[in-house]
Amino acid sequence: MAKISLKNIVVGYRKKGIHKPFSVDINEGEVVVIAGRNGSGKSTLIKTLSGLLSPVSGEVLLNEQRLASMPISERATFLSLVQTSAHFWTGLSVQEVLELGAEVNEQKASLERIQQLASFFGIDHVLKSSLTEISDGERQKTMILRAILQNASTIILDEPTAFLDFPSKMKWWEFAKQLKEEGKTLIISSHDLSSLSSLSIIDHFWMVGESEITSHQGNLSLPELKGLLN
Amino acid sequence: MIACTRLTTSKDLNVSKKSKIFILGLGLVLLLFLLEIFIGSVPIAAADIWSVIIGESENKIHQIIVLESRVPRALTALFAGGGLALSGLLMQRFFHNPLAGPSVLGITSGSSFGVALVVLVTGSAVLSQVSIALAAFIGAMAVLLLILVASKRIASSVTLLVLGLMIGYMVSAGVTVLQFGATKEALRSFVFWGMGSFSDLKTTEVLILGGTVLVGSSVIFMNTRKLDLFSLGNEYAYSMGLDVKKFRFVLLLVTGVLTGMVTAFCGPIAFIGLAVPHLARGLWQNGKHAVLVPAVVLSGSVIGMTCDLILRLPIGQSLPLNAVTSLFGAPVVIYILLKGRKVF
Repeated sequence: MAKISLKNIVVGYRKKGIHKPFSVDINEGEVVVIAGRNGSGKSTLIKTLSGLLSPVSGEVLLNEQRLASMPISERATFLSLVQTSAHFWTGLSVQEVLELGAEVNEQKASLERIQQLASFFGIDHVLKSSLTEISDGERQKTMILRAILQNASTIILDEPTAFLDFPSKMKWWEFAKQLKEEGKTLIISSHDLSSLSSLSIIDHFWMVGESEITSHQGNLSLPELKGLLN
Repeated sequence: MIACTRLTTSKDLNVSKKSKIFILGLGLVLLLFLLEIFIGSVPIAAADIWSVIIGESENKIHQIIVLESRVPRALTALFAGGGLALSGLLMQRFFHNPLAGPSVLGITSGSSFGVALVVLVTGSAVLSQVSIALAAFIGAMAVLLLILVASKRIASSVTLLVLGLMIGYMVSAGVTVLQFGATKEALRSFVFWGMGSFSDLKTTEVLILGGTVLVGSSVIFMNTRKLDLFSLGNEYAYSMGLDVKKFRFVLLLVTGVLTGMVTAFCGPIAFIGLAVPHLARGLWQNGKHAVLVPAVVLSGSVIGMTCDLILRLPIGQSLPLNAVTSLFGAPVVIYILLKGRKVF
C-alpha cells in the first residue's frame, strides 16, 4: 500500500510551471478529487502524478521513494491510469485489453472475474469486439476496468465519467466507494460536481486554479464546490 | 448493430481455424518453394531437378542452375518478403499509423544514396554485388543512426515521422544530384538496382540475409506482449509497466537492420512492407501480436515468393520486381478490403 507525497511540486511543460509550489500527503485508501476549469492544468497534474511527465520542480514520492527513480515496471504495481480519451489504433479486443491489464501484476486473468466486472459495467456484450469498434462510453468503461484489473494500490483517473451515461456514472461512483473500502487510493479528476457532492467518499478536494492549487476537505456541499470553482 | 454483430462473429474465429490458416500458409510456402525450384527460364526435367536435390545428379549445369541460382533466389524471396512485411508492421505500430512502412524513416533512401555514391561517382557499371550491398547497408545504417539519436530527444512519434520523411527527401535530393552528373552506363546500373531483384545472391549472402531476418523476427516474437501494450498508445503502455523509450529503440533498431539488410541485397522493394500487415490482419482477423507477428512474416514470405514466381513465368519475365510487387499485390489487398474483412 502506498502513501503518496507531493513535495513542493510545480507542474508544467517545457520547464514552464503553471502554479505555485504545492505540497500534500495522500494516505492509502483515500480519495482525492481534482477539479478546475478547462485548461487549468488538471491533466498536466494527473500526468505528473502518474509519472508520464516530470515535474518542473519538486518531487512525487511513493512510500518515501522518488517516483522518478522507480523502475517503470515497479511503478505499475503502485499506479494505474485511466485517461480521458485516447486515440487507439489497435486490433485488440476488449477482452484482450482487460487480460493485458490483469497480467501487469502477474496475475492469471480470471475469465470469471472479467466476465463479472464486464457485466456489472454493461460491456459484457462487447468483450469480443475490437477496442476501436465500440462506443466512446464502452471504451471508457473498458479502460476503467482494465485499470481496476491491474490491481495497483492507487488508481489515477482523468475524467472517468466524461463519456458515461447517467446510470453508468452512478454505477461507477458506487464501484469507487467499494474500491475505497478495499483500501485503494483513488485520484480522480472530474467535472461531475453534482455527483461528487452527494458522495461521502471524498477525503481531499484539490482545486486547480489559475495560479495555485489548493487542497480542501472532501465533505463540501454543491454550492461550496461551485463557489470554489468561481 | 448489423455491423457489430458481423464483427463479433468474425472475431470468433476459433483457435483451430487460426491454426488452419497457419498450416495452409506454411503449406503454401513449401509449394511456392518447390515451384520456384522447378520453374525457370531454362527448362529442366523434374526428374533431373530431383536428382540434383538428392545429390545424385552429375550434370554440372543442372547443379549450378538449381543450387546456385534457383534455391538461393527462392530463399531470398522468402526471407526478404518476411523481413520487409515485419518491418512494415513494426513501423505501423511505432507510428500508430496504418500508412507507415519501412521506407518512412528514410532508411531505404539512405541505402539508395549509398549505392548512388558508389555506382554513380565511380562511374562503374560493373561493380560487384558485394560492394553495392555494402554501400546500401552503410547508407541505411547511417540514416538509422541519425534516427536513433533523434529518437532519444524526440518523444513524439509524429515529429519523428516528419523527421524521417525530411531525411528521406534530403537524401533523395542528394541521389538526384548524383544522377544528374553520372554517366549513362552508371545511371543504367543504378536504375536497375532501384527496380529491385531477388536474384544473383550468393549462398553466403542468402545466409546473412536469412540469419538477420530470423534473429529480427525472433526478437520481435519474444516481445509480442510488449507490442500489445504498445498498441494501446505510449501513455497507457507506460502506465502498464512498459519502458516505452527502450522499446521504441528496439523497434527502430530491428526495423532499421531488417530494412537495411533487405534493401542492400535486393534493392528498394516497394509495397510489401506497407501492404502485407493489412493483408495478414484481414486474413487472421486478430490484433494480438502473438498471432499477428508470425502471420505477417508468413504472409510476407508468401507474397515475396509469389511475386518472384510471376517473374519466372512467361508473362512476367520482362518485368522488374518492383512493378510486380505493386501490380499483383495491390489488387489482392483491395480485394480483401472490398470483401469487407476488418483490416483496421
